[in-house]
Amino acid sequence: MQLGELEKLVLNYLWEHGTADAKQVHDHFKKTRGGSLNTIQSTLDRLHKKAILAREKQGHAYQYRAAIEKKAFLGELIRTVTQDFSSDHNHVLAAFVSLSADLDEAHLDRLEALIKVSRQQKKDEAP
Amino acid sequence: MITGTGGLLLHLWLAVGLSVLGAALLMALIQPRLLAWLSCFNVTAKQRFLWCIALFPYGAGLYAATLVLTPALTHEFLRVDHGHLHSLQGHFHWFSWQGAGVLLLSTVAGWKLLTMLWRRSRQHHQLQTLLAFSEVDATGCYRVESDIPNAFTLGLLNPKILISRALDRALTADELAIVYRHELAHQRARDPLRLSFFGMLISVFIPSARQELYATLELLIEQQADAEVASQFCDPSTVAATLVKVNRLALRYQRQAPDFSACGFCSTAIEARIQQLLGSDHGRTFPIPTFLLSTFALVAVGMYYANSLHHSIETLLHYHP
Repeated sequence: MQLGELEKLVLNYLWEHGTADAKQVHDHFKKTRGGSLNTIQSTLDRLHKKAILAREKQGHAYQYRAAIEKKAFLGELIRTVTQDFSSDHNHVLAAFVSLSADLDEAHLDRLEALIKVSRQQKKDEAP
Repeated sequence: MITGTGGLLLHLWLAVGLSVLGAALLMALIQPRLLAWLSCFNVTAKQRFLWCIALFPYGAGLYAATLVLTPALTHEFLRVDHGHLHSLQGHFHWFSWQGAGVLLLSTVAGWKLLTMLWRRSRQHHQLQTLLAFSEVDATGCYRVESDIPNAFTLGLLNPKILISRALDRALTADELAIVYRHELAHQRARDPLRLSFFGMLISVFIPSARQELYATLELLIEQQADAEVASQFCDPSTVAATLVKVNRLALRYQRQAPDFSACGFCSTAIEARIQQLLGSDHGRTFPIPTFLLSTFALVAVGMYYANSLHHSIETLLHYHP
């Protein structure tokens, strides 16, 4: 999923503030970032088309809110990144977790036992 | 028909391409034995050998280019009497197997390059988005608000360390320090860039050989980072225990969220990593003198037979008018 700089800022704002219309978002960003109401409106519209924001018409204006929780969105992003980086064995990623298809609790128990034996051996060898 | 420098360059491209592919095929055939033989060496030596395997086809390509372009060099250096330079008279026919070969090679190489650039651009955007929604701590490490227990280093030129909040919550301060230092070792060594470059080099190998080579380097890189952390903590078993704990957390998360199986991206053998951490014998070092002597002997033999090889290539490509 590709998001522009302003799109990321707007999404973060809505995660923090819940719901807002274009004017409220614009009021928030005009102090820190500048830009016109039109830009904010089209950014909100783009995010809605990407199904990241949900909107409801209240009076003349749309009220926008995040359609997906931040944690779920980031979880999905991590999944996409790791999946994309691995699909052609051309990773650009080095990870601590080493999940492989044949890894299970019993395997991890065996490894833990191996570590205990190694610690015990070192203790025994120590003067 | 193309003559002159254009014809020569097209012939050169074909000769280099065929040599690279031929050498990659040869290497793929002997690769299983080579990798088995590497087991007696230490992690650094194994990595060096892997890079040699990956570079071998390009060495063969360079040698082919030298043969096509400058057989006179061998005459100059070794006084072998075959000083001639008639390659510039090359005539290249498009409607021939050479033409078809050049088109096929160019199409495949162009396609590979375009897909690689497209993927890199997409990965860059994904990383930027992930970073934008993460918090940076005092150490420069990005904390991602996610329930997926994972830590990874991403990015080519300026790699970033990302650790999920799930790990923050589940690990002790010491265990977190181990995870962070492990990722820091990847960041310092620019492992994502090395892996990416290695992946690019081995793209000329057949898929099974490519996967095996990549998985081997990936495991070695993880083992190197593990060893670096173990040396800082003076207790490899603590690092090994943390490795098991994080993998157990990930496994439990995988059970709760079945689509997490897509996250089995880094199928490096955890057992090999733990055995490496707990073992006392780390293997032999890289045999630099033997390697240099072998390379020198190979180059000398190659230069000595340059004339006959040059004419073989010319005959193959119908170089002579």
